[in-house]
Amino acid sequence: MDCIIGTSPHMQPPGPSPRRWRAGGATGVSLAFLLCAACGSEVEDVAPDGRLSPPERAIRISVALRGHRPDLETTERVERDPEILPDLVDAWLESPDFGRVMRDLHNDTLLVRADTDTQYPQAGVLADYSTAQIHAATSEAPLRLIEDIIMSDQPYTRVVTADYAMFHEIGALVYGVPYDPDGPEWQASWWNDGRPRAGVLSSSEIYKRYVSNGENHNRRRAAHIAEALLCDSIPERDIIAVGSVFSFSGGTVTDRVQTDSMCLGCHTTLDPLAAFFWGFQEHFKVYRMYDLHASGIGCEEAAALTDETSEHAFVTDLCYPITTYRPANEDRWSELGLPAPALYGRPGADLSDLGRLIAEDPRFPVCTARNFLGYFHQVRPSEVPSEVAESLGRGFVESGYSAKWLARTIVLGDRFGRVEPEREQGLVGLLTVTSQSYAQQVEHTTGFRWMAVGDPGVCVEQLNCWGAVDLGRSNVFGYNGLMGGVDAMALMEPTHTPTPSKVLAMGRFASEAAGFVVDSDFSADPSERRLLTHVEADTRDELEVRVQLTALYGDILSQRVAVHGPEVDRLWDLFDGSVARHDHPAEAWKLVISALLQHPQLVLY
Amino acid sequence: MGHRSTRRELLSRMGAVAALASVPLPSIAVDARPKRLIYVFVSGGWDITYCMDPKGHVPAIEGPEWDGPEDEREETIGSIPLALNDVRRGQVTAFFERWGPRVAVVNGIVVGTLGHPNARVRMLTGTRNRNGAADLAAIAGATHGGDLPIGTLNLSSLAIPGPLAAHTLGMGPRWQATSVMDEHTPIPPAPGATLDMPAYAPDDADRDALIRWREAELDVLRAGAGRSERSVSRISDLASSLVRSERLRGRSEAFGQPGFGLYPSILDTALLAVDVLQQGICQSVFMDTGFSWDSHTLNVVQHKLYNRTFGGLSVLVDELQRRKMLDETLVVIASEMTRMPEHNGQEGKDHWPYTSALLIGGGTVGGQVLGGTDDLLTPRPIDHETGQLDPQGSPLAFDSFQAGLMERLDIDPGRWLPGVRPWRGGLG
Repeated sequence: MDCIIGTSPHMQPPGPSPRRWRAGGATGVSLAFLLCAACGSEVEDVAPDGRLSPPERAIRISVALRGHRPDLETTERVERDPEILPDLVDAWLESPDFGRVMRDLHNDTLLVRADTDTQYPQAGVLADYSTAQIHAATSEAPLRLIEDIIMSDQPYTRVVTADYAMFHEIGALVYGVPYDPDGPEWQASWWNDGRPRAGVLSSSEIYKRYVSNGENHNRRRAAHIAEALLCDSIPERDIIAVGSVFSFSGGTVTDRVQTDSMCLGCHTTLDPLAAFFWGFQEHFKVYRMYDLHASGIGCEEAAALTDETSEHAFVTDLCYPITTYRPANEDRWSELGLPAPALYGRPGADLSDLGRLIAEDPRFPVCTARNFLGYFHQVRPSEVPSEVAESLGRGFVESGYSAKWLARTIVLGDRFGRVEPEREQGLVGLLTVTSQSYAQQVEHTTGFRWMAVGDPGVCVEQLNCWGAVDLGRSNVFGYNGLMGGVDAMALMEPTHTPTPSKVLAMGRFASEAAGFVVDSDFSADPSERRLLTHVEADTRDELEVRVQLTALYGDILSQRVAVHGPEVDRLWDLFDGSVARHDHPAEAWKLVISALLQHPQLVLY
Repeated sequence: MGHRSTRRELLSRMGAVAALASVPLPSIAVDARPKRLIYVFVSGGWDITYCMDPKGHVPAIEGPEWDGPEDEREETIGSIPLALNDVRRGQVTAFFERWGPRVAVVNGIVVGTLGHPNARVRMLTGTRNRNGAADLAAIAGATHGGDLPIGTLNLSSLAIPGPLAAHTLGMGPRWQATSVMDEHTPIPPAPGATLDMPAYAPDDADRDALIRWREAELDVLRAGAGRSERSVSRISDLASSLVRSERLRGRSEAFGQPGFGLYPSILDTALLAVDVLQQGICQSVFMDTGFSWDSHTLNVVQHKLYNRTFGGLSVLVDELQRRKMLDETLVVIASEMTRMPEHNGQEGKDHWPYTSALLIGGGTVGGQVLGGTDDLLTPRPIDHETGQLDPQGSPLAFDSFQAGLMERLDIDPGRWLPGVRPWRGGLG
């Protein structure tokens, strides 16, 4: 078998450097070094074996694991000694940036950041929070749990078996969960409604997004969990229709799906899995929460009208803290004549059992490998070759279900370090900067976070005013979807290719960031500047400008280029032309930085 | 320094790059442009018994009369039997009274799955999964829109552009793309921000310089990126996206300015669809109704959904006709599924793996119903050449339907759906 992914933590040494990365001895951006006219050259064709150079490989891995490029010093260290790359990777795996990337990765499978969906209303104890804050504090909770499990080196199986959850203060208020106001912003706690402990399977956020409507009886939830955690897309199965075979011939729908041969193919799998979720509200009554507050009745009056002991305790569905799980409903499947809880024929009693069954299922590690590999290689998980996923899954199990091992093995794998495969298998080749990564890189480089008021003038005395949103990461007002990200409602998969929408959004993002960093740098003391450390607002001297251009190349693209090399020649033309037209060097710096933040090598890497 | 390209020369050269992108773009004479396409997606599953597949005479099927028969009637307009209710769905009546003779109804399309995402993939792309699949609007735009600013305008996030994404423009749920097409559009900064936005927007001269610089850098990347299929494809997609984004930047006024943060209505969307086609911005438009039709609870909401949607459709078709564009624009209106024949315990209806579609314009022979369903609301066999019911035929499957639409749009279905027999359906 041509195993694409190595299984050793220390992969084979990187191949010969295919590009001339002429590095100097200094590690900083010293003026003497920058003036070295021979210390860089134009990129040459890729090496015959199709491997990236060690610095390019470091850049690709850093973007994958941290969302942003390494600094120039790091790429130069790798250039001098490629053997340090595994140690760098180990350090990056411990960084908070990797935790954030893990949240992004798992959102692509769990699909919970649904900001275009209706959020909990700003009412009662949430009256002082914006909708943007409420969304971030609630939808992010299962992703925060996964991050915590991975970053604290717990076995990945804890994702479905953990006996704790992560809560933000706002989430704790929504669900009435114990929360220490003096503790960290996100802290471990647990629901006090008696729900079984099963990691993310216990999270109300998943079932707020994936509701159970009508006589769906939790099947949609079951299908989502099977696909996200076991890579079994049950709805993709065909319903064979020959003439009028798929028809009803009396009895209820519930009866028919248990007996009709056309239905059993899916429902023998789906319905027992769905039976685990009966404790959750079929659908959270978010719209009715708005109705209640809009009616002017208010929660106190509603409480007086409601029998708290009834099965459908009205006020606790609609007023904070809301009830989203009722243990008394866990066995309702039996009342409806539906099958008992089981995962692919293996019975269980409650969500905790489901978590254990998933953790023991051989599909779980292979699916996790698919999801990780798909994310890092930018292919659909279903397109990952089976032998690759299975081999990686075996190693994942042997590692003790270490997500860090999994990520490390993938990014240090031979295939991840190539732009050209030995044989076409749909993997490798150039990668495209993701929406999250682009926002992260811009912020990391310039300090600019694209914050704006999402709904100015249209949101007055309402219960869903978004307030300040991060346009780089928002779908409802911003450009995450336009730049290829998912919105978990309509955009269910990322787009891994450049598009006009992405180019346009990146263009404006880059210009805003350039305007921000130039203005803030030139108004700050040189020692406190981010990028423009070699020039002043009125500097026009070509050599000084070239030194600054060289430094920008290093700061933004992590590449050493020569002061009189072709890259800087082209940037100088850009700068000089703008100054000639506008007689305004600061404006020219905005143009240059905007250009570098749209560099094709930043888009494709 | 040698000769510097003008912006026009530059775009022209980059256009040549785009023409070499992943999709072959045939040379098209201006007077022979293939039919344009507006695809209106009805997301969530419409109940076809409320309109184009009336079943009021079938006791086993609970149609719109189930919750109030008094104003329901079945009537044939322009040879199309319809379920009508002038009180609750008056816009449907108005639409068919005006446009029925030009509408072809296609009933009894087999989707063969019950989950929304999967059914959407099948109906929009004609394939069973998304691997390498693109929806009809994206294919039409990429095939015939190489010379236009953009192949396809996606006014809905439900589109599936797939590998043709570089030929499409997604507008975002609130048409956010307008604020990046024109970098001078003000964006309200967050409270406490120290700068106004735009904090910087290059003028035309600076932008031209930036484009030249980017083209040179792209050449460097191209030289160093190797020859793997994916690398070549992505560079080609980037080149194409750069060309198309610059073409759009010069036409941003065509998209109007709905205002930052505002949701467009179906009327806004319909009018923009016609505007951009008329102005030669794109070859095809993908849009949705703006509503979720997934009526698991209280199926009665279908009255309102039909009424509002057909109000929007009337504006869309009226505008196409008024601007003399209807004959050259095919409008497809379809949902990913219909709803069960009977209600569930919450007075809603669950999913049913079949659907219907409406076609109008683009040479469609109207005033006819093609295909059909039986008294169990399941598809009846048809002759795939005529579209007429035929006991010796077979039901119309989603992939055949898609392949047939491709033929009508001068797209080779064998390229996208190899082995699938196109449904020809007697559409003229």
